[in-house]
Amino acid sequence: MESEQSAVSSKQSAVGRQRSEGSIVNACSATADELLESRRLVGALETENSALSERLETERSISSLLTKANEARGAEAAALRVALAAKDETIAAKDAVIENRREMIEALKKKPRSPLKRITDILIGAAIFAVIK
Amino acid sequence: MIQITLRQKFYIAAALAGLIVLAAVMHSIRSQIEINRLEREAAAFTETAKASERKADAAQKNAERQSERAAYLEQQIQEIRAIADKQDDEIKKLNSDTNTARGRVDRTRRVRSIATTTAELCEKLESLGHGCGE
Repeated sequence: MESEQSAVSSKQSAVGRQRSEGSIVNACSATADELLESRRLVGALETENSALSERLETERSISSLLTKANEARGAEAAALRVALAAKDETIAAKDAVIENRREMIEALKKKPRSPLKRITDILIGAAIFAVIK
Repeated sequence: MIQITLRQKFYIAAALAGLIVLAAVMHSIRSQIEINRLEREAAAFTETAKASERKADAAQKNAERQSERAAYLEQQIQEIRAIADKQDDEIKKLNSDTNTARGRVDRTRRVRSIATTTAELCEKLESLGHGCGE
């Protein structure tokens, strides 16, 4: 009687153990699947991260070039301002030359005849006066 | 009435003529000095104008160089932007892949157990680098 009870008990225990092992295997299988998919996700995240890093480097290059281009445009604008100022100076100097020429024309108009010619004229006048006398 | 002899008249006339000539000479010298001054001024203004023109030309050439440099840099920026656009497309695709992977992880996380034999489990663990025989 006791041995029968013991056999039944051990059989129940074996069934329970089998069930328990089965459920552990099933849970492990689900965990293994999750781990596999997690690893895939990590791989995808790493790839995306790498692509984002490359994109960041590209954006840095663009930013650096934009700064340089901006500096070049600034230098161009400054050079054009200098050129404009120099052109204004040129125009002012040429205006001064024109004004100077005008003054010179006036001075040349007012300039008396040569003193030698004047002396000659006076001598001729004196000679004519002496002849008439 | 003062009597003036012909000789005296001649002297007076000569003196007057001398004064006139002296005045004319002075006037002529003054006029020549003025003209010389104006000529010097004209030369200085012309030189200033030439120097300003040279400065303007140099500045204009510098502006052209800077403009060319800026155009070259802008061209480079356009090329790099095209690369950046391609990278953006790639990132979108990768982001989609990541989202898909994240969805799979979420789905597998919700599954508590999968009916599996020990052999199948060992196979899975093997693929994960943790074989049952190790």
